[in-house]
Amino acid sequence: MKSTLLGIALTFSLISCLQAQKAPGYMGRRLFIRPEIAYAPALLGPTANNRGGADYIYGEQGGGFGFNAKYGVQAGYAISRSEVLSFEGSYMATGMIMEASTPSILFQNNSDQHYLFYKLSGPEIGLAWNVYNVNNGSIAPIGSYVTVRARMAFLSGTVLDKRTTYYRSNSSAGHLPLGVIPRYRHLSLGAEVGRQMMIGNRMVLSLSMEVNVEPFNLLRLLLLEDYTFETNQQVFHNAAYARMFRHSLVMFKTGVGYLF
Amino acid sequence: MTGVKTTLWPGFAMLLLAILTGCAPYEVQFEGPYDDSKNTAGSYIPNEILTVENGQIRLYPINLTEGKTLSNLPAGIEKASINHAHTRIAYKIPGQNIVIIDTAGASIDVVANSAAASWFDWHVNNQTLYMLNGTTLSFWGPAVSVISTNLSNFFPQGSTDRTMSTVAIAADGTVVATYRYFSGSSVGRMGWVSLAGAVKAVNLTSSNETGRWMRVSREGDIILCGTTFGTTSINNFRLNLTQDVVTQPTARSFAAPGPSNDLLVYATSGKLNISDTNSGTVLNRNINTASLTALDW
Repeated sequence: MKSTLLGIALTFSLISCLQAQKAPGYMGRRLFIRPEIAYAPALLGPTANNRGGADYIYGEQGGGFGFNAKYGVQAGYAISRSEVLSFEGSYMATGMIMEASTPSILFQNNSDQHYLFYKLSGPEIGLAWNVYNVNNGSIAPIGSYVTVRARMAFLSGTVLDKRTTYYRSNSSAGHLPLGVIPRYRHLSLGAEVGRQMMIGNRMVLSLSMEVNVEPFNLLRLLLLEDYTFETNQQVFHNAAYARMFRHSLVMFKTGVGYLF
Repeated sequence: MTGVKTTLWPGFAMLLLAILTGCAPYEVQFEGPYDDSKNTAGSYIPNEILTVENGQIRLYPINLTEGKTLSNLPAGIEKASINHAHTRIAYKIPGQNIVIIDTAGASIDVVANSAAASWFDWHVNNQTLYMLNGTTLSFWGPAVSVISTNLSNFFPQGSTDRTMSTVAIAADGTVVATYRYFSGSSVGRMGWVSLAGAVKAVNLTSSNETGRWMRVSREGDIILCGTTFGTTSINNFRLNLTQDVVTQPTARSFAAPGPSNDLLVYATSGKLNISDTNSGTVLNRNINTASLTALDW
C-alpha cells in the first residue's frame, strides 16, 4: 500500500513536471496585445511630409533628416514554449516622387511633363511566426526571438504637390488627366530579430529590427530589359513598388503591450 | 530587472522620436493637392488666333479645331488685333473709331478720335493699344516710353509723297515702321528707332512697297511685317531686334508670330496654317482666305 501510494505520488509528480515543461506561455500567459511603432530613417526617399533623402525638389522645407513611421497593433499567441503566432495590423504613410507625361492638348504629337509628390498611405496586415530561443532562457512570448512574416499593404496615393511643365509653356488649356488610379498593393516577406521583456507583472516592452523584401516585382524588374513604361498607371505602380521596397527594407520597431 | 531598466530608456527614446517624426505636416504646395478625377481639361481649349473674315471676327484655338465667330459685333470690320494675353481685342470699321472688346465681344471702350488711324496693335504689356495716324503715335491705356510720338524723322528732309503704313513698338521701346517717300526716286523702307534715338533702316525689295501688316512677338524682340507691291505681290520681312538683322522669310499674305518664336500662323490659298519649326509640324484648316483682312495671335 505504501509503495502504491508512493508510486501514484511519483507518477503525478512526474506528470506534473512534464506538463510544466511543455506548457506554453510565460507563467501560463500565452496571449499578448502590443501597440507598436515602426520607423526607419528616410535615406532613400522622402517621408510623407517630404523630409529625408531624395526629397521632392520643389518642397522648400524638404530634405534634411526624417523618419518614415508606421503605427500598429500586434496580437500574438504562444502555441508552444518557443513559438508564437501573431497577427498584426498597422497604418503606414510615406512620400513618393513620380514623373509622368500626358499628350499636349494644344500641340499634337507633343507632351506635357508632370513632376509629382505623392503621399502613399494605407493599412497593412501581416501574419508572423516568432521563434523564441529557449536555450538562452526565453519562454514564448518573453525573451529574444526571430520572426518570419508575410505582410500585405493596401495603399492609396494622394498628389500633395505637382509641377507641370507644359509644352511650349502654354498652360492655357490645362493638361489631360494623368490616368492614374492611385491604388497599390504591396506584399512583402520579412525577417525580424528582437527581444520582448516584462515590465512589472503584465506589461511587455519589445524592441526589434526587421528586414522586408518584395521578391516578386523585384525579379520582374531585374529581368526586364526595357524600363520604358507605357502608361502612367504602370509608372505609378513601379514607382510605388520602388518606394515601398526602400521604405520598408530595414525598420526598427518598439512596442509596449499587455500580457494576458 | 536591471536588464529591463537598461533597455527601457532607449526604448522610450525611440518611441518619442517616432512619435515626433509623424507630427510635421507637408507644408509647401505648388499645384497640389491635385485630384486627377476632377481634371476636366480637354473640354475647353481657349481661342487665341484671331482672323477677320467677311468683315467678322473669328477666333480659333491653337489646334485649329472649330472656331467661333463674334456674331454680336457689327458687320464690316476690316482690321482687328488681339493682345498677347488673349484678353482684349481692338477692332475697326473703316471710317469709325476703334472699339475695345473682350474675347466674348462685350464692349470695353471706344477710342475717341481714332477714326483716322491707319494702323493699331497691342503692346506686349497687354494693356496699351498704340495707334498710328499719319506719322503720329497715340495710345489707349497706359502710355509706353518711346523716343518720340512724332515719327516724321524717319523721312529724309526734303522728301515728298510720304506714307507711313504700319508701326510696331518693341518691348524695349524701339519703334518700327514701314514707310515710303519720294526723294529723287521712290523708296520703300523699314526703319526702327531705339529709345536712345539711333535710327536704322533697310530698303524694301521694291521701291513702291507698302506695309500691309506688322506684328510683334510675345517677347517683344521679333517684328514680322508683310508688304505689298504691284497688284498681288507680297513680301515678308522679319526684324530681329536683339541681333539688329532683317531677313526675308517665305512670303505670306497674312502671318503672325505665335506665343513662342518658333510658332507662326499664316494664311495660304484657302487655308489657315500653324507651323512649328521646333517639331517640324504644320497644322492647317480650310478658311475663306479671299475674304481675310486681318490675322493675329
